[in-house]
Amino acid sequence: MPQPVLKDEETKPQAEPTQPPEDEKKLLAEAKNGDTEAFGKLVERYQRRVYTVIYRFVRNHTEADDLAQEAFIRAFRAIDRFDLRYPFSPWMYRIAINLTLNHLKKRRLPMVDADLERKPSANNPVSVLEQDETRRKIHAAIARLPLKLRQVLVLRVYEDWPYAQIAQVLVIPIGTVMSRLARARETVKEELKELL
Amino acid sequence: MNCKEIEEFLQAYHDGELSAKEREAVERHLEKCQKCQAKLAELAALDELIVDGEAEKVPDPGKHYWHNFSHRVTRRLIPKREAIIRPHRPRPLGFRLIPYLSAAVAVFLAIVISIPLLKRAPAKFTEEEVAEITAPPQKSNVSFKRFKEEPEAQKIELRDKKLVSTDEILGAEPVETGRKSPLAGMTAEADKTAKGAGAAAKEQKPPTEPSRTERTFLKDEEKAKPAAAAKTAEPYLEEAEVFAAQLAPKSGTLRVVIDSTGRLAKVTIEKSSGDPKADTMAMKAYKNQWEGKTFRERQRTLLVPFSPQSTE
Repeated sequence: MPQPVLKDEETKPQAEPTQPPEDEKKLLAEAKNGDTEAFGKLVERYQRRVYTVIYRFVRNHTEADDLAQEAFIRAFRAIDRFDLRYPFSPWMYRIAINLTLNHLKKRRLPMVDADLERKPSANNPVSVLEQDETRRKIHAAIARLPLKLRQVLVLRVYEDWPYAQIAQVLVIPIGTVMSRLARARETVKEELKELL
Repeated sequence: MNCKEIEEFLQAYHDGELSAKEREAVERHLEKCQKCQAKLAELAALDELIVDGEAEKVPDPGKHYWHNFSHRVTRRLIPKREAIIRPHRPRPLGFRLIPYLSAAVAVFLAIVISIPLLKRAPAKFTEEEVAEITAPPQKSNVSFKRFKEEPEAQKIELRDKKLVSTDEILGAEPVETGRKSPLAGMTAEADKTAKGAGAAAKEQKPPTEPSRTERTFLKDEEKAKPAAAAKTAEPYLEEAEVFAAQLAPKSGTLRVVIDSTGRLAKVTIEKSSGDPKADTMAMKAYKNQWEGKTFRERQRTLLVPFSPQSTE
């Protein structure tokens, strides 16, 4: 039985408005006053998206779960510094991604896809093994990328984020996003030349 | 646009990041350039490979997980108001013991201080104690005797004779050891010597050779009174006789009021010696003697006889 996966509409960020919606603004204002219940509602709104972005980097549910919770807790602690004139999601993503990247730096281990490792090879073992080998190579090529290149590639290719949002979340110019993305794609292409 | 210029826009075109005008320009070039078309196809294939090559889509942890997620987060949040009010951790044991240790130290000090005070409260005075109390101050030319005042304010007979009697002075035990006796202007050592000298005088025996201490004393006395020292080999006896001869015949009495803490509250003249200057000196001397000291008595009035001396 195939494992359920998150649908794109649940995880992909919607077009970010320049102003936060009024109800979100109200929740944010209440959260700024220390209201944990209001902040809980914000968590419900963003939990899937934050979890998914983190999962893309760590490829592990347990770590993704821990990091997602920690990201929201840090956001609550720092919410005094949040400016209500701006949308919440880029700020929240920035916290989540920075936390994840720091976690990966500390881990210093190659990004192992736990899900790939435990993938069952039940039906049609030969084709499944071939498929697994292809996936492993792709995964290894991305994992070997420097973090700065990998984060841009993941956010663009997997998460389908527009350049502007990537630039906003990572606090880098759009030109830097484009150049890093080009370098990341070029590196992966070289690695996966035989598969193209 | 040529191929080199288009190459810079190709990735943005693929990602849908170009404006309508830029997109149109790229598409016009792509229609006639197969090389750039191949590059664009390569870019699309790579993205497809990366996306498809994912081990799997992000797994859905399930409804239960998402339902509890926000609760798990908010449970770990400390509301700011509580965070301010609630102490984060208990104080170390040392800090918590401070009040108890302070109390214990205070009790200990109170006991240590009070023991000598309690010991110093006899019910009655012995003769020796009276003598010690009434010992006149150093460098004073006034002598005192102190008596308890009777409840009926009955005057106690003054013992002027006892005070002025040369024989008694010379023959009696020293009033206080370790302190100079202003009556004779001698040290304790000198008192002992004087005592010995007095006994010798009574027995009409020649004076013995003075000890080393006595010699030292003699030397000092010689400096002060070279004439007297030169006249006789028994300076102490002569000193006592001179003192007795010069002592004023009249004596006065001081009224001494002691407050509830045992401190000297007031000194007045109960009975004048006849010499106002001597009275004033007596009051001053008594005040100086008891300044800052504590009497054994509390809330009492004492009558203290004094004798003006003219030893100077």
